[in-house]
Amino acid sequence: MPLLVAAWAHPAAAAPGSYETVLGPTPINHTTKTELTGEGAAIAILSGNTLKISGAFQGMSGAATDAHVMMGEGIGIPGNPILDLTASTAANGSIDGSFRLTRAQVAALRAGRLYIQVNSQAGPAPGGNLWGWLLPEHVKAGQDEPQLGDWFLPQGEGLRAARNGNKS
Amino acid sequence: MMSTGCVVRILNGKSVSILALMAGAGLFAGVGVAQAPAPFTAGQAEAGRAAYATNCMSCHQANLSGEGDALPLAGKTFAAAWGKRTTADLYNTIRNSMPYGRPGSLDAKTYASLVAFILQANGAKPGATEFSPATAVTISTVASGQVPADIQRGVRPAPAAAAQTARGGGNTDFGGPPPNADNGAGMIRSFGQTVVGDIKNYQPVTDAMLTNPPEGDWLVGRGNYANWSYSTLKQIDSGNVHDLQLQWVWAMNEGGANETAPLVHNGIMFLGNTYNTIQALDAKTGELLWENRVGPGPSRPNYGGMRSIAVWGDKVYFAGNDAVLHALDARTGKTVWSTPLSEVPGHNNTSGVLAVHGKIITGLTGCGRIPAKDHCYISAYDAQTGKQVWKFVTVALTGQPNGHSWGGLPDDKRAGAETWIQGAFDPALNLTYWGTAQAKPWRRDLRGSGSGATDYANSTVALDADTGKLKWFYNHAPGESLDLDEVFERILVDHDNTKTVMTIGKAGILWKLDRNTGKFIDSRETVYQNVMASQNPVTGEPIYRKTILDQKVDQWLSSCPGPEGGHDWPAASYHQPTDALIIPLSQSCVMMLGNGSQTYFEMPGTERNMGRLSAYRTSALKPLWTFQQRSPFLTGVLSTAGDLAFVGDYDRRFRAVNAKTGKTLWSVRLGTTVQGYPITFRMDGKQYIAVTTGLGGGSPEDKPMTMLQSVHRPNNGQALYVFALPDGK
Repeated sequence: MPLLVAAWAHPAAAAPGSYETVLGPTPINHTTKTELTGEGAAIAILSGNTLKISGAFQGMSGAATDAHVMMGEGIGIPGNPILDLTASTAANGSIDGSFRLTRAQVAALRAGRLYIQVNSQAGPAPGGNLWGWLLPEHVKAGQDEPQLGDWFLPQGEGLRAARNGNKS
Repeated sequence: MMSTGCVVRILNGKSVSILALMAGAGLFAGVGVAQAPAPFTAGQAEAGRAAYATNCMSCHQANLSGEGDALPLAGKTFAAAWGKRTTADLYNTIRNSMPYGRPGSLDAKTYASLVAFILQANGAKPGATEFSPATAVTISTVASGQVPADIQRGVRPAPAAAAQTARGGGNTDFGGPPPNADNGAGMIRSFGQTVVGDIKNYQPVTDAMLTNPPEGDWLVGRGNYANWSYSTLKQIDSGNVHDLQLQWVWAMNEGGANETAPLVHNGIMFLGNTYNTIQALDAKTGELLWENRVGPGPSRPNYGGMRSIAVWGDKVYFAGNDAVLHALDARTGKTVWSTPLSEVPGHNNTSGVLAVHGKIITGLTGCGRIPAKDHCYISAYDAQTGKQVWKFVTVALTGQPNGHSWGGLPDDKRAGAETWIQGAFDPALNLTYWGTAQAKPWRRDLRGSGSGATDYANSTVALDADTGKLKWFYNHAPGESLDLDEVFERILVDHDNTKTVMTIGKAGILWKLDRNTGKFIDSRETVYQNVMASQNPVTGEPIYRKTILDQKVDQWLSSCPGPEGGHDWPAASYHQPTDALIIPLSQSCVMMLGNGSQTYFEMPGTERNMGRLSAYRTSALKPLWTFQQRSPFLTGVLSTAGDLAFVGDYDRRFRAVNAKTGKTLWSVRLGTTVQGYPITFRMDGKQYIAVTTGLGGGSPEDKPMTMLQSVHRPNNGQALYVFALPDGK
């Protein structure tokens, strides 16, 4: 696993309101796979209604131009920018920002509907170059290390919970 | 929802200003008026026509209309998808992705000629300027999507391909080696029996043996009728597996899709190769005993897996990719009989076969063409004569039970429901269980079936093994719309008095049904999915996300998992001692457009890992262990009483994990992607593990090729590897 991602892959004990993401390329096909390169990671701490985000990225084929917190319909379903992050204007760099969220935005964060998108010269807006969904901080095993028992799934008990009339 | 601008970005795949696109759209709106000569010459287009016939036509069709995953390259659909893009985009897309499975393998001149021909096939007129890769002209300014009459009638095959077709015989649509599939040594260039066997003292395989396979044999594709892929052999165990050593290796045919499952009986291994080739090998030494290159070659490059063969009596059975069922003499390899499964061009077979009570049961694929000349079916044949015994059509037709579920479509517009994975059999209930693929076209708005469930597509069907009569069916994805098949292995597991059938489809939902009645018992998501929003608590019927139900042809739609599938053909294993189902899973998502365009992205929450191997206790669908890795797994799982589970991956690694914990205990890198179904057997008191490397196939191969640029593998190296402990261990 690349160094940068590994550095984020073993976070300290999860705090209430801690979220994280690993950034990977926005959707690619055989034509765009050589243009939309790179990776990154970020953590987000929600304290009250204040969200602080910090992260890093590397390996993009063009310099970053801007970065945003985006809101979509659900996890893995893209949407539109709602908050502007500060981003290094380089192929390798950092992102950060601090925001006061509305009640709806807090709810969206908790539902996994917020994601970070980094735009670059190689992958400009609106499609972008890197993205990653902000999900609750969770335990992760390294490569070749199995996890016993339950493991993290973004939707939790999902359909089972819905079937049983519970919220996941 | 994705903004219009985002659509634009993905359509173009790179930076294009909105103003420029609006200008392009304006120009596109002018379709029908006289168009400027296009930037290619007549000579280039003619060369491109020949190159198309050789490299592209077998998938994209003679009139460029496309089929299945092979998109239309001419006409309105092509114009809608490509009108705003440039000729350079088209060149780069073709060069980077085609021919399928061998991107970039043609020279620049040939790729340029293909672009010229495709433009001509969309109404563009040749000019005086040669096309070059750097030529960037908006396609709608030179090509209208109006297909010339001669191309509507169909491109003729190149003479060499036509000759090969004749030599290969059989169904004319599937004859001969794949056009220009020659990528090196190992390609089959002639058919027929190359080595005639003379196996003495061959013991015919009985029904009793198939019902309770001898411990040292591997007589059924997935190990037993219940599809467990589990062996009670335990000489190799979690304590000594680190000593495993290669015993012998056998190079296999190159080309096609190698997804094979060897069988072993009394020390003889029967091995299905691509090009419909069957070999018998001494399972201890790897010595060839006989070989029959029945042929023909695969209909498309890198296509045509043969996922199971069968033995019964004194014969070996297989279904060729050309949809012809064959019986070979197990002692000599000579063909005893051959029976066409279908006479319809385009029908083929990848499921393989299942031998049950003197009948050979098999599936059918390639039933997506409309109007449907014939529908897909599961059928059974007399093992002695090849005569058809029964046939079950997998599409509910007008007047049949649930025939109303197609929204009133006429029968010739009810397509799909292919069966491309071998079924299971319960001897006590005398029922055989098969999965079916989705209806075609797989987008519901294009299909015209409204909100209909399109039975018996994407279902488990339970059929009387003697008559083929439907006892029950269960539709796992009513009205499917995202190319998410529920066709894969059915595994039979008993819990006290409850007999269950378990399966998992591309949506990654693990299902448990009562296999006597078909009633829903339980289900559980194994990877992230955003396709189904809810589920009926009693029937288990899943309800699609609203934006999927409201899908429009011109809108991009996200789906997790995507067509790679949370699960695909690499089958799970049932490790009986721990009541664990050990499942290969994949983690990727897709953005798709109505015309079939797709782009892929990593599944959220996976830390960029596409591969996952997970174990669940089947009694309660309780998660036991999991691990994930960058590359997806491309073999089925084999588990043993030695508390081991074996699995191979895209990145050439074959490994043994502790079946109780998932911890990797042994691994080895092989020649290329480890692909197929590993097996185990015993000879002279020694336990062996066999696995194949392979290339070719559909989404499970194609999506990693797009997304795993840091993973490199050779484009040849199909082989069988056999491992065992050193003597004395």
